[in-house]
Amino acid sequence: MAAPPAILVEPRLERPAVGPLTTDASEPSTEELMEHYVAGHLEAFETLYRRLSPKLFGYLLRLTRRRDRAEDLVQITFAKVHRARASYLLGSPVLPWLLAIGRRSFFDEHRRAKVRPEDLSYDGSLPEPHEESGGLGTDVIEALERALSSLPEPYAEAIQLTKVTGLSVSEAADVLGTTKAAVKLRVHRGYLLLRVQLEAFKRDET
Amino acid sequence: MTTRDPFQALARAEEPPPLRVLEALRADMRSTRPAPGPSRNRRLGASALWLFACLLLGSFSAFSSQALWLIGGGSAFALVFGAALLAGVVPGSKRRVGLGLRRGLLGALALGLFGLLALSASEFAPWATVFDAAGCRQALGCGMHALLTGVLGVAGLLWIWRGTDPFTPGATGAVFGSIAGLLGAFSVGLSCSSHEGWHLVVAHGSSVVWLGAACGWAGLKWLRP
Repeated sequence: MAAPPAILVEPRLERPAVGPLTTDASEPSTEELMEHYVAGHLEAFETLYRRLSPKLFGYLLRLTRRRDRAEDLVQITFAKVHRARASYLLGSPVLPWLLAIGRRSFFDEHRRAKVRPEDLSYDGSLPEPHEESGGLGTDVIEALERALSSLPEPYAEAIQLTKVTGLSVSEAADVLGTTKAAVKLRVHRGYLLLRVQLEAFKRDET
Repeated sequence: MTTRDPFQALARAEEPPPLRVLEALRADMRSTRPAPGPSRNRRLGASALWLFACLLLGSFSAFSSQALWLIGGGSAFALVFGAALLAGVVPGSKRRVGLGLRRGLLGALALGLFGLLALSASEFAPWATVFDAAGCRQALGCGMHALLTGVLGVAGLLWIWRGTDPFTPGATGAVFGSIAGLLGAFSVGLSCSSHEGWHLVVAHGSSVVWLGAACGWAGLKWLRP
């Protein structure tokens, strides 16, 4: 008998869903890579970029809900990281530091975009309106993706950081600039909303 | 029975950004020279030394009137207290206290100082007599003394920790300001002979509130990378 999707069971928050960023004990940790990069080794930056950019891109994609903006923000964030590498405190966790810089870049861009609300796409045309998340998809992953997109931003962000990106609650609280209790509450409330949506999806499927 | 975690599947499905982003970054990164900044411990050490120097400078006028052991002992205590506080609030450590505790700390520092000043007061004279023309001049002098010592202290802290806190720079800056305000209150307490309660609270203690509030804003500007 197939097991039910784990989304219907609220998981314990203190244990990140995703393991540490290093998969092999012989690989340097992200913090060691950052140390090499700060010491001037460009190849360390490239490894760091390959390891962290999917997580940053995924997070920014969920924040912006637009691929082109998320790509720009990844570039802006890493450029900021490059400029600020001297102020990185050696040994401190890199991923929360990077995500916090990315999040701030998003809000800075968002504020600027309010001043000039009509963004043109690369070919000079007006962007297509976003597709609203209506009915759930046929696949549970797709349904989860859509359900996450339809959540209020604070809930979606908290779930993204703790469950998808794999940060601990205190790291997520740091990135979001809030307390651990607030993160737990947002994840809990987000889960309640997700559960309602996914149960509807499950009913539709059967 | 196996359980499926769709979140893990979402994490696995995360894709890297297109190659053009990395290429653009490579083109932008003209300088890759080594840029190792001071470590957290070095910055902590520098902060402690700076606070100590500010304390000595702020207490300079008390050297002739107060016993040296009082100045030295008080400065050492203030230094250890300030350094311990800093170690808990600056980023880069897993033992850093959470935002809720840091916010609580801000209130505790201000209330603790006001409580201590009120307890050490010999009397609370009527407001009008405390802040008459002469009283106002004295309060202004003490207030400026506390504020300038605090501003000097917090300027150094903000410079030492500049660009290191992308998470909650406002809260960190506010704690820096409060610590520097305490420093100012301590240094003026050594050189002022008044034991009147309102004078102590308003002239000596209020710098904690002003500096805490101002440095909450300054932290956003200086501490963010």
